[in-house]
Amino acid sequence: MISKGATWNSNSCRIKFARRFVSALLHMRNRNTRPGSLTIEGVRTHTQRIKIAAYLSMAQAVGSRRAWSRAVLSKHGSRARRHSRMGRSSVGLKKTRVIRSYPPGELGQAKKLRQLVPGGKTMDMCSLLEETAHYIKCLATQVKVMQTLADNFSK
Amino acid sequence: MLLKDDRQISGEGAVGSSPNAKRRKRVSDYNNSPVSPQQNAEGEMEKDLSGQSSDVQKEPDEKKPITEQNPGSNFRGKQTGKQGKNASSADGFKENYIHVRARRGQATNSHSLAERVRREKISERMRLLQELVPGCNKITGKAVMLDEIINYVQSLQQQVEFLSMKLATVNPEQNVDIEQILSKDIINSRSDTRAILGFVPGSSSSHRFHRGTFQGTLPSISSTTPKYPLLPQTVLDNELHGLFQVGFDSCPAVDNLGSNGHFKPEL
Repeated sequence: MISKGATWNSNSCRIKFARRFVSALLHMRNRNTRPGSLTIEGVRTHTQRIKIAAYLSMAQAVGSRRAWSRAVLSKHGSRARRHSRMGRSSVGLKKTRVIRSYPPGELGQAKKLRQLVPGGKTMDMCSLLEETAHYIKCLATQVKVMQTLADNFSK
Repeated sequence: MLLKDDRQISGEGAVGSSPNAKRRKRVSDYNNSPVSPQQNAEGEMEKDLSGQSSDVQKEPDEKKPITEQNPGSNFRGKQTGKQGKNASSADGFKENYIHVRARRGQATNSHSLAERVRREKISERMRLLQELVPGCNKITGKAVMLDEIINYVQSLQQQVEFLSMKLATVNPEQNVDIEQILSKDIINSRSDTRAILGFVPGSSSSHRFHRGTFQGTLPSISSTTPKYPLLPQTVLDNELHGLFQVGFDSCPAVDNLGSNGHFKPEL
């Protein structure tokens, strides 16, 4: 089932993400002059920033092809807003689509899934499942890359 | 009148499948549950999709064997058998009934088609997701599958948080060669998600532990996650097995980094 095309796509996704993430990490490290590295709050803030950088670099690696990546980019990156020329401005969409009756039949689980997947609140069930599939794939690669990074850094 | 009741009852089973107000109003007194609604619905759907009112006359004939199968209504089956012959002759009498059915078919034709297409799409996506989420091959059913998906996404996000914390606390080594790490990284992280699943229970428990007493766990991050250092071993093992098969896949990627000749001796 996994054809060459699929592995090539996932590999390029992984490479792009790895590059961006590592450069973001280095950038953050250079910026952080390490006074508060041992305080709890300092580490917590640093953790939050790293987490956001991870999601952002993943979304940037994916680009604007996917609805969830667009949602992440519009939520976090100001650079991305200037770049993204796609017709979707999620702010406007949110205003018009906030009052949306969820389609019946799936109940609480679809609601939870919408909360988990970024940008899932304004999606119908069909596209929600599709976005979830892609999001899971990218999350898995993200976790793998971060894991090996942490391993390499802590050796 | 008895005949008419039977006809109504034989068609009654289809009510449960589609909410048509007209159909419900037609039913007067109705005690027995003649046929399983699904069977009737199937027959009905087929007829709806295949033809319009011209096929309606065949419907009672088709329903005849279905009603006969029902143990509870044997004599009714015989009655419908009689009706089957009378159907064509008594068309005028039953005209309004068939008319309702046809109208129902026509009215919900696009609806049923669209719904069926939608359901097909959703089930196809669910199958895709089933392949993505590990350990879900035996699960059939949307509800359980959705639960598994939600759990998996939550666990992945927890892992991201835990790893970002780990990356935040690690000391930066000044001499890291980015290219080398990336190449090792890309080759190493091609393992399957089994390694990640093994990591999850450790991560969730230690994560909760970290939130509570952070100072105490700073030195013990490595000790509370005993599975964690084991993972690269499994990763490498899996990697070695899979490397020869997918080596030609990774070659174009690794060539970009210019370290094609390096990774093998490293491993």
